[in-house]
Amino acid sequence: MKVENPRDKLLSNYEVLEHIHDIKRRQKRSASKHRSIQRTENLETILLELQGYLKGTPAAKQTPENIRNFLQELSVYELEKAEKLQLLNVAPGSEAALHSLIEECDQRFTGEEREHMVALVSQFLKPEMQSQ
Amino acid sequence: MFVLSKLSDLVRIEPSKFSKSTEEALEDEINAKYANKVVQDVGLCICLFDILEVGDGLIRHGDGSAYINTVFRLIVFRPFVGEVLVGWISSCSEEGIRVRMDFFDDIFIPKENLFEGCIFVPSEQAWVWRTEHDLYLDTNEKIRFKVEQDIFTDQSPQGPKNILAEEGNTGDENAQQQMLLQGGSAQNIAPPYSLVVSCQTYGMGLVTWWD
Repeated sequence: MKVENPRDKLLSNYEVLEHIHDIKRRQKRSASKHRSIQRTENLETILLELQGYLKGTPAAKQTPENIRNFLQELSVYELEKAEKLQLLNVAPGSEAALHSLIEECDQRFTGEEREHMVALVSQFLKPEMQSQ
Repeated sequence: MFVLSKLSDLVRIEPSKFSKSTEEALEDEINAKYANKVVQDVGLCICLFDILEVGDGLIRHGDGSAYINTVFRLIVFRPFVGEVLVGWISSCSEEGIRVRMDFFDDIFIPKENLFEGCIFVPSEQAWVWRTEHDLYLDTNEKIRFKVEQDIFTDQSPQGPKNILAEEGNTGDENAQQQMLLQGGSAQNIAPPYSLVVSCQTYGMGLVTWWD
């Protein structure tokens, strides 16, 4: 075994969850064709636990369109890639939570801008909040 | 929270698996080897993401299996330092708070990484942040924290040479043996990959405090 690159790309929680769904779908399909598929315990365990975790995160309700629109709206602000990823994964519901994700939030953005960011999060990433 | 790591490996495929397509056989073998395992300085491997390169199947004298050089990418749990994650408090002690995520349990908040003014209440087995109100950090509460450090512990067994070399350093054999025993058991307990995290800035702590 050789590690070529430990950090090739960053993945959002949504992409990981989507990949797990994809594996589950393929497993089901090959089971219906009566082909022998290998189900190893380790793989099943981690997929089950991870799926359980991710279902409780904002990623469970995100869609590719929502994410794309959100990032487009967000592009007016100068944010680091890691910060955008955090906004996607955590989907902060308040300014206080936003503070913890963005470094030196006070100096970089005005109060209105911060409010706008939280509003964008609730608009695109938390669709279930709107219906309530 | 998750990254793609690029690895290359020589994958062995047994003759009984020749009925599968190469791609499927490789995927199964890679998942069997890496899923839910920690690779040193890489992180906790989840599963295969995609296969980038597949070499020719090679055979070896005395073995019917095919050996294939493969380059692939894995989904790996490896939060970066400074990343904010959400988990649940699994236990509190005087030393600090243990936190778990469903798939990963080795997360620890040392007491010096907690909010200023936090005290441990032994009767409740909980940490309390004393501000205007007492804010409790109870077991099973959802908590937000920031990654400060990741620690990898190599768990591969030590060779006999190392042990002999260590023994040679001190005169008292009994004491040395005891130390070895203790050291040995401590090493067994240390998880291969653990996170030291903090909870001391605005927005951290229980999710319900802030949202």
